Amino acid sequence: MYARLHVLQTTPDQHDQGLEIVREQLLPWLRDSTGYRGLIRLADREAGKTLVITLWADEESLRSSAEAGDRLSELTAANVGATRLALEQYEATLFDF
Amino acid sequence: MSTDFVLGDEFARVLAETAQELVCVLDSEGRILLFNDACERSTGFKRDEVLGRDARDFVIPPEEAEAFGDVLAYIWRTGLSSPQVGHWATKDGGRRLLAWSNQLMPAADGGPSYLVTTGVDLTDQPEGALTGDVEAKLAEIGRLAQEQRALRRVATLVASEATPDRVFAAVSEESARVLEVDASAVFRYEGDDTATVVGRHDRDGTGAFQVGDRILADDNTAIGRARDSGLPDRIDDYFALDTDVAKTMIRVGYRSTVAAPIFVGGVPWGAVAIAGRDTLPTDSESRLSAFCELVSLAVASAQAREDLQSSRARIVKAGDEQRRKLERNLHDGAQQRLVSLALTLRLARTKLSAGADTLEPILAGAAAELDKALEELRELARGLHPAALTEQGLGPALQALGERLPVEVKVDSGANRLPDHVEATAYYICSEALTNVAKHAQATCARVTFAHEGDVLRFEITDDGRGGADPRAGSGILGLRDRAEAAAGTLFVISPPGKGTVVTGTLPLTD
Repeated sequence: MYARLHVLQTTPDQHDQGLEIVREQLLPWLRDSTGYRGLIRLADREAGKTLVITLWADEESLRSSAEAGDRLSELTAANVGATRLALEQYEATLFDF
Repeated sequence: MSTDFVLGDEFARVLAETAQELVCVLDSEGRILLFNDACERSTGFKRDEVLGRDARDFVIPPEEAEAFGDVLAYIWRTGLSSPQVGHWATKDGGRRLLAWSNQLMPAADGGPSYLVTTGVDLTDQPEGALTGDVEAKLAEIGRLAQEQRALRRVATLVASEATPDRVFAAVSEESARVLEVDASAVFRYEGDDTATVVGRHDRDGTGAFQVGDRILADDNTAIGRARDSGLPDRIDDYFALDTDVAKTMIRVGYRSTVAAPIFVGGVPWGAVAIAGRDTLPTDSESRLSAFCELVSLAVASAQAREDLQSSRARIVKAGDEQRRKLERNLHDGAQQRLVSLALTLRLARTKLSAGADTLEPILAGAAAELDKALEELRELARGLHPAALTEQGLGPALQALGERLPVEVKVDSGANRLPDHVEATAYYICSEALTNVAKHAQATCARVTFAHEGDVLRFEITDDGRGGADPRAGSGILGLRDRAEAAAGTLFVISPPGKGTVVTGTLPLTD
């Protein structure tokens, strides 16, 4: 399994608006993507930080979703006025759910 | 056992029992009710032994028992006489050749009918002495009838779409019985100098070969010669040969074989061969051929069924694959662009107060995204069924397709419109073929030609590329052929390496 990590600097308000966009606009499309295995959104409201992790079945689906992932997260951040601090890709070496 | 039911008085009884001809009375079950002196003399059985018993347990030889049952059933069903020539078994295991007349006789008390048969023993008669040609003809008719029954049984099996293995076994058994030989087998030729036993039968349990055995079929075998000449052939004396096959045959007691080739689709597919302890009669070849035709029919129809089955499976699979691909293309293409367009417009709304300089690039981006989404949707829709095909017909639609391909495409078609389903199938085949040219052929130029020939549309797609397309590799060409054949058409691919590729075929113009 592979993962894409979006790190955002967010106010609590920006976090909530972003949550709505992800839920309403992005998830319905994301769920039909080849190799999509899930999404986790983490918030540290006091530190003003939001982490979004999308999980992918294999390297191939991670790679083929990279361009859309970059563009859509950039657009989402712009919509709520947040700053994207990092966009990183990882291999998931343990996943216990 | 009383004989009143048929004779009624002493005179008739004495007459029947002392007549020089064989007189035998049977009931509908084949039980013997009267068995006269001549019957006793011919067979060696005493009437006390056989009266009330099934004729098949005594005088009817096992190999003719089924035919005997058929005759009885026929006579009781139709009420007609049915003259027969057949064998009776003697008490010491010998055979007598007998010519029979018969007539159904109602019982005096209105009960079930009885069959009165009178016979002449032909066994010891010098040829033609008794009734001249009639006798020989009767014998021939009897033999032919038996052969016809055997062939009919096999044909019924073939028509019921029995597996080839069952047909091979039945052909072996029936041909051995009809040709009165000890063993018979069906062989399938392999690509090399060998043949595989696919069906076999023997009467004496010797079993020279088993189903699945692969044997050398060279010039020293009848099946090898039949394959090479395309004609029946024979080995009259295995003792004159020093080969493994000959040794095997001699070991199990066979001296001679006759083989007749089986043709499927015009090429020798295999052979039916019989073996005997003595030299086989000269008419064996021609009599085997009738069985070969049935085997050929069984193999060809099994192949056709198999081809149809796999073609259907490929068409269904191709359809599923196409739908899956369409869904992927929609999701990864147009849908993704529309999601990002929605976000872009949402962004623009938040920037309404920021002024034109900020808004302009956002809206320009949105417009560009929308254009791309539209173009992708158009491309997908054209792939499903181009509007140009519906509006303008086959030639212009292919011309339009050609303009989007990186190969120069010339389309040469009549201006005539064709039935919708023909245009759709022809378009699908030609567009696939042209896409293949663009992808694989390394061609600079392709040409599509259509011609009407009677009730048929002939199509041809040629290119000047590298050739060498293999119909077996990948499903591309097979898929085209499936599509043409599903529309009752044909499709062939000629693709010599280095000399371009020609895809040619026909589609019926009628419904």
